Amino acid sequence: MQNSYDQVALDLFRPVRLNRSHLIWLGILTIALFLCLYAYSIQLREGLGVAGVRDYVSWGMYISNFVFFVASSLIGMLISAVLGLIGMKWIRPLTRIAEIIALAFAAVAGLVIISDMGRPERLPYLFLHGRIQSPILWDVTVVTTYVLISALLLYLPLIPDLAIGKKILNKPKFLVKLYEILSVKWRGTKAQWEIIHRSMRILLILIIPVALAIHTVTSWLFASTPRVGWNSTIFGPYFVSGAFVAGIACVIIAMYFFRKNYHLEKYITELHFNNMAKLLVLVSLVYLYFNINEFLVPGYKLEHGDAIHLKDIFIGHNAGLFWFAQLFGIIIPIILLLFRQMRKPFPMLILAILIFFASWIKRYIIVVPTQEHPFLPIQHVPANFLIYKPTLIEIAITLASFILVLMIITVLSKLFPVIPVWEMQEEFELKEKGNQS
Amino acid sequence: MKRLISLTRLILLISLFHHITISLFAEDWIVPPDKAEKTAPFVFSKESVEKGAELFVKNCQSCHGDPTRGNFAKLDPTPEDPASEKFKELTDGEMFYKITNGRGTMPQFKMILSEDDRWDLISYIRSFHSGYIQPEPELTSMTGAGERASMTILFDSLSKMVTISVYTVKNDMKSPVKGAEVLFFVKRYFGNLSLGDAVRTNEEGIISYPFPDGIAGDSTGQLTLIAQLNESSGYGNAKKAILVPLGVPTEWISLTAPRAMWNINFKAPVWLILSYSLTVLGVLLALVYIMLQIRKIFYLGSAVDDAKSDKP
Amino acid sequence: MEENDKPNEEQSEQDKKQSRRKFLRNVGIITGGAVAGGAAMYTGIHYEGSKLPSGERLKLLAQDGRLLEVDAHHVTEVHLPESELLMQQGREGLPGHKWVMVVDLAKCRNARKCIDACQSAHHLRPEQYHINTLQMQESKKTAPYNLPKPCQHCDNPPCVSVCPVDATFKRSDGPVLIDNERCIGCRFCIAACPYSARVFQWFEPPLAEESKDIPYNIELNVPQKKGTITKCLFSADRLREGKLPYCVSACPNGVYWFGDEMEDAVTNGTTKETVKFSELLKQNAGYQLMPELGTKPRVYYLPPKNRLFPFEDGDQEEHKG
Repeated sequence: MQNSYDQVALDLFRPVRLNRSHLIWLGILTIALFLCLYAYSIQLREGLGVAGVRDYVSWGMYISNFVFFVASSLIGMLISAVLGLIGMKWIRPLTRIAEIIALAFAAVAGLVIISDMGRPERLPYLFLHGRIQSPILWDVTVVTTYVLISALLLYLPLIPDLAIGKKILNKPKFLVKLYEILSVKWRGTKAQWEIIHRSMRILLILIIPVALAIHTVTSWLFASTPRVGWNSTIFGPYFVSGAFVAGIACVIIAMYFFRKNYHLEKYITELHFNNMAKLLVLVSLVYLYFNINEFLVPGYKLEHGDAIHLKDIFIGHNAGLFWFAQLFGIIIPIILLLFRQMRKPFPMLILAILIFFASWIKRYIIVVPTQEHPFLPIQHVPANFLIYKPTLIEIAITLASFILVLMIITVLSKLFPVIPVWEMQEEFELKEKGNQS
Repeated sequence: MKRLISLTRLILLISLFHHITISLFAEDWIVPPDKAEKTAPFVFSKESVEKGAELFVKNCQSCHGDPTRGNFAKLDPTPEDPASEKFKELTDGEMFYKITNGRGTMPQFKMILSEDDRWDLISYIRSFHSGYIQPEPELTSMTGAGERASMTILFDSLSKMVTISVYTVKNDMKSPVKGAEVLFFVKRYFGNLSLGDAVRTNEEGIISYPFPDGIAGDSTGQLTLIAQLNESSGYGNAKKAILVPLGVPTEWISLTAPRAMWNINFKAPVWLILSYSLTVLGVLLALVYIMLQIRKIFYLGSAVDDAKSDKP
Repeated sequence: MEENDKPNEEQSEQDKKQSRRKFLRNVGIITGGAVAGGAAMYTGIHYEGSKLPSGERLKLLAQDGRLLEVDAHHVTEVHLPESELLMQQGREGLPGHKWVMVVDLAKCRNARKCIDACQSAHHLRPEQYHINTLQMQESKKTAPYNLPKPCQHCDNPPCVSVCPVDATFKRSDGPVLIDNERCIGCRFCIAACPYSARVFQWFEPPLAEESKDIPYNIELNVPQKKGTITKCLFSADRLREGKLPYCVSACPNGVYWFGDEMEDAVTNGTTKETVKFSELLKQNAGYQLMPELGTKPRVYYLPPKNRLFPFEDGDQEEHKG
């Protein structure tokens, strides 16, 4: 019994070390990041014009990507807070993965928005001259807050683990030292446990409105304008429900890789995949519901601008991307996941990757086509003003943000156990007790 | 005989016009006969042609193109090349009238070019018409024996009546001018607003002019009224401006006065400032509380360590 | 008549001073550098503080809205460098006025002289429009017409609402301006503007090298700055001088009327004729672009009735929305 209790800690701390393959992986990521940063240096020197955006479609890939990142970061709130607070026990081994993903995406989202600025050096003006009426100011406020809360939500349940890890790990030295500092003299006393539980509960409640706010405010960047395709009252919930779909796809991909690479089959089981699949179907159905509202209602009336917009995305030059996003992002997953065989890890990985891409493209479809047909005709301008085409530099800078997310996830998952150790130990104890009685 | 030829020409011209003009301009541009007879006040010279050329580039070229080249704009009705036969047919007076008053696509230049400028222009256009002979210039027709009249303005703010008296002064003797035409304007930021047709002085050289209703003044109803003698009535162009409280008082309220979403930070809606500040403050307090709790974990741990080290 | 051609500059200068002084007294903006600091300096110049005997108390309204009371003795004239002066007066506007524009669609034949004058005044590229003329046709059977489209200078401007740093702002006399030294280049205003009135400096602007020593004029957006927004400014610099906007004076066809709503008068840029603004709208059934959006534009249009020009379709690439 004692054996298996310790075994949990040993299992979960096994991946916490720096081996060669991970150093190589980080090396590749770093080189790729620098290549992409070179692209950014060109943009800094020449101006935003090196991207494909122009006066009519002035928000392109960067903003689509920003929306996607904010969306993906929402998953931390769903898994830890919503499911945790209503007492779903099976979710416990996945909470830290969800928090790491949330933190990585939310933190990098802030950088993505800077890459879209014509004058990045004037970022401090947001704090010096910030206008309280601008949704951008709300977004900055709420994304910063969300990053802070996500970091705390990652850190607090980590404290007992750090104390455990301090005893198990003996190298590398810096890590042991780091654990020593970060574990803030955790001795596992009753009073300390009480603090952890109370603080966690506060944070879990707090993160729900904050997370809803970050994506709702992000949707308001669009919905607060009078533009066709953005001028929608359901943009908030539409974005939030879509965010859950994207976020769950991210978590499934991460689950698969951590399970496989860190040999965590005992802790992330097929049951977890099965449950995540059901959760995915649930949120996809909600998202489908909002999609029907978003397209059927204007499609029924076909007001002048709406008619042009819908024609463009349904059968126009953006139709390919739109239907890809809708089919692979919502409809096909819902149908396939009805079958038990599809709820196994590998098929789910494939589906999750498809959803991941489809979700990204969906953000693009929300951001770009609206700007391609403003109220007044686009005339007397060069051809590249009419239709938006991303440039290589733009793609490279967007890739940089993904590389950064991967780096953050890699480093965090190497420094700390990706599954909460003490929670697993607690579960084992409970199971043992159950067996005894 | 000659008359007959010119008449047939005229008929020809008119029928030509009919083909060109669209239904909008079913009527031809007929210049009143007295205006058509008007002639230039000076003899056309090299200088006047040069000055006219300059004015032409600035004011006419964009539609009429370069004379003789026929590169005029494709408009309806066509502006035509000024070197063309059609222009040659016009009398100086007709040309002057058309430039002065404009019609349809042809802008009026009454306010843009001085009379002399307009005549310079005509002299330039005539330089393309071979065989043109300038009619005898009529020297400035000063019916009032060359006397220039003066004006006084009085107003009564109650009855809103403006009284103008026009007179000439000769040997310190004032004598009223009868039948002089006076034009009224109100000064506006970019130009003078005409208050209507010219009014003639009576036997005593006086005009009693009821100031029209509904002209905007400043916050106290003040505005600048301008009275000007109509030059063509022959008493010069004396002009008087006077500040009168006869306008409608208008109160200027800054467009940025109200609190609004579009106003500056300081003028944001109160509910927005309150809800934003309170929410941010609330969340910040919660986060500070959590930080303090983490510190408490540290102190509790230290206390345990101290107790342990005390025991042995 | 001739005197109407050029606005009497001396007089208008005096008017301006007068109205300014009145304005200052009205709202009680009298402020001094010693008290309110740099932000409030500009208004201080105009206060003849030196004439007052010391001991007299003055009520001052500082730029941040606080009401202060100081001894008149302490009020000193402050002279600002040109760049700061331009910035201060540009943000403040011309009190007592509310500028309006009327565009007569029946007269526009797409000569594009307005565009040329505007682009050269504001140092723009040929594809950058503060004002553009669009070839419009609402539906298949309706008649086509030319639509000169400057910024509408809305009284409820969606672009200003969304600006995160107060770089674009509504001025007390109507124009919506841009401070290129404040703009962070987020382009939220482009996204928000339903009239597509805004353009961005995607690259180093033309004439950047030649104009780099000119003090930045917020009312002209010159020198233009890379990575920031620019758009129609109602030629705020010209209004200050008592002149009509660049586009208005450049039109050869009498399309534009410009004036002051407070005076209920607009002046035609081509004929220099001045008429009553309200009458012009009333007699010609003037309207606004997309009033249903609630933006309250300061630009009015006269319907393209009795169009005097044939509509040239041309080979323009068109993307109608």
